[in-house]
Amino acid sequence: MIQVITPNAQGQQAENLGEVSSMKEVKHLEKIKIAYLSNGKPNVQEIFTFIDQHIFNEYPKQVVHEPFEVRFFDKKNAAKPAPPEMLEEIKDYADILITGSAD
Amino acid sequence: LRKSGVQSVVLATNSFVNLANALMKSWKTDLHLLVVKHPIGGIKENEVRERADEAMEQLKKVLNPSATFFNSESNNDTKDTTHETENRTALLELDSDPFILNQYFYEKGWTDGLPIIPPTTKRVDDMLGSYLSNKDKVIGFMPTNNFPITYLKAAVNAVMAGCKPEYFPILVSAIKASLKQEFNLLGVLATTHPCATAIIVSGPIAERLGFSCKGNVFGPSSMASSTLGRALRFVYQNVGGVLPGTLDKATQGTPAKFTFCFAENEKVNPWHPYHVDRGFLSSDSTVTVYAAEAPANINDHGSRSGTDLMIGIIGAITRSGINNLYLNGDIFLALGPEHASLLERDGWDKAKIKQEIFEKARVPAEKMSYDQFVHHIGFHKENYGFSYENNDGLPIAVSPEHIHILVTGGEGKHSAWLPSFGISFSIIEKIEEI
Repeated sequence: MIQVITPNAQGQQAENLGEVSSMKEVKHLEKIKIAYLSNGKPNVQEIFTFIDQHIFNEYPKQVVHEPFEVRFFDKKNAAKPAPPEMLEEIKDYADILITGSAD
Repeated sequence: LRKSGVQSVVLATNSFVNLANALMKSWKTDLHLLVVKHPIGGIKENEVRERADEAMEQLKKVLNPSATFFNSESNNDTKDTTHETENRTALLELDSDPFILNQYFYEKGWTDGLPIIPPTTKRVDDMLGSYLSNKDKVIGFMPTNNFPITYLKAAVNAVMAGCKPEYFPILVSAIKASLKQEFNLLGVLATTHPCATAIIVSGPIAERLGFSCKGNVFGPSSMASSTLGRALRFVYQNVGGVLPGTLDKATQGTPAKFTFCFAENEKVNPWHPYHVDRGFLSSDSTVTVYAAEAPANINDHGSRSGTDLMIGIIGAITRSGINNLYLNGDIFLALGPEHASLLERDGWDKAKIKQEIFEKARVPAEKMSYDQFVHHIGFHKENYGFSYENNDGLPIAVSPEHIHILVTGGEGKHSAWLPSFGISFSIIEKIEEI
């Protein structure tokens, strides 16, 4: 027999990034502002546009009607986080953000 | 955003759901996932509509006023492959038979499939050397899962990879360098692009420890290079949980992911060593990390002048299908000594070579489809008025400063260039030997 040390993170604690606050429950959808954040990959704007049309058709009274362009953010780069100022803008505007992780 | 109360929904394809789950678990958040058929890019409009329909069916459950917005139930049955976090013993008793031991490590997902050296306490202590008293000190945190890379865990992985203890300070410096924000390690490790973290060792330590710098420099030509590059990959894999198929989403990957480490051939370099270009003394020892594709060869046996050779070099570099065309970043040109000598003889210095490459290595629009061209220019902050109709050329770098030149290798009329991941900049760090 031989005794070895494990090479992985066993026995370690992940860095504490702070607790996530509990989510508010959406009991009554009303004047909900929906924004979209694209990772910059092809067809992402297109699929978000279709989803947005679906949402509008399904929940015409619950969502705020503003042009898609106003609510569409594009970080242009799947491999980097969105810039802080863009996140601030989204935070100030949106109740719900739809984003993506894929090719 | 999640923390500030914006309720977030992530659209992922079934091929990327493992990555999304792993990152959410690592970041201790539970965004709602909409999973659609892969891919989204490169498909026709009717297929995009189908994906949107698929997403909307799931989104309705989220938007249903009677439902809790974010529920905790899993919406996929993918296996969670992130590392466990509970505090358990880090020591294992195993069969000492090398085949059984290797098989055990491989099945745990701790190796690359090649044999490893068992990381016994004695070997790990020897690897730590003067770092032993600080073995639990943290070098940095893996961006993939926020787990700490301690000196101990780095040493365990270095032993497994076959490193000698004298290589360990270089591994520590390479880890520190790759954790710098500009390197974008999370992107480098998770991307579908086939990049590896290349380690370039410069200065006196490279020769003293025998890093590859002569013939077959990018091949299996020295223990120091082979094992150090492998050790860095092991750290990412074992501490960061970076496994193919989950956090490592490379479409095809590259053999360079097994190991990628080399040095300059400073004795035959007609110019200053690379690290001096970046502000260090020639007596300093440094390590540079770079998110590189495997080297692409530049064969030029025919040119008799530096000017003619530059035509061949630029011709080889100017090709479509590289990330640098739209994601920018650095590129490295690794000149073979004979090519470097010819260039220097004819009055080409590094600044002149960089300027020539920057001005002339432009990939014309006709080398790619219209849609690919539009995709590329969409990433440029300023689109410079690039036009497909005019057959405009896209630059491989945003400025000459992002083109790096090294001299390495042995006899022969070959050089190489190393395209990069793009959204990553090379980082150089002084090696601190304690």
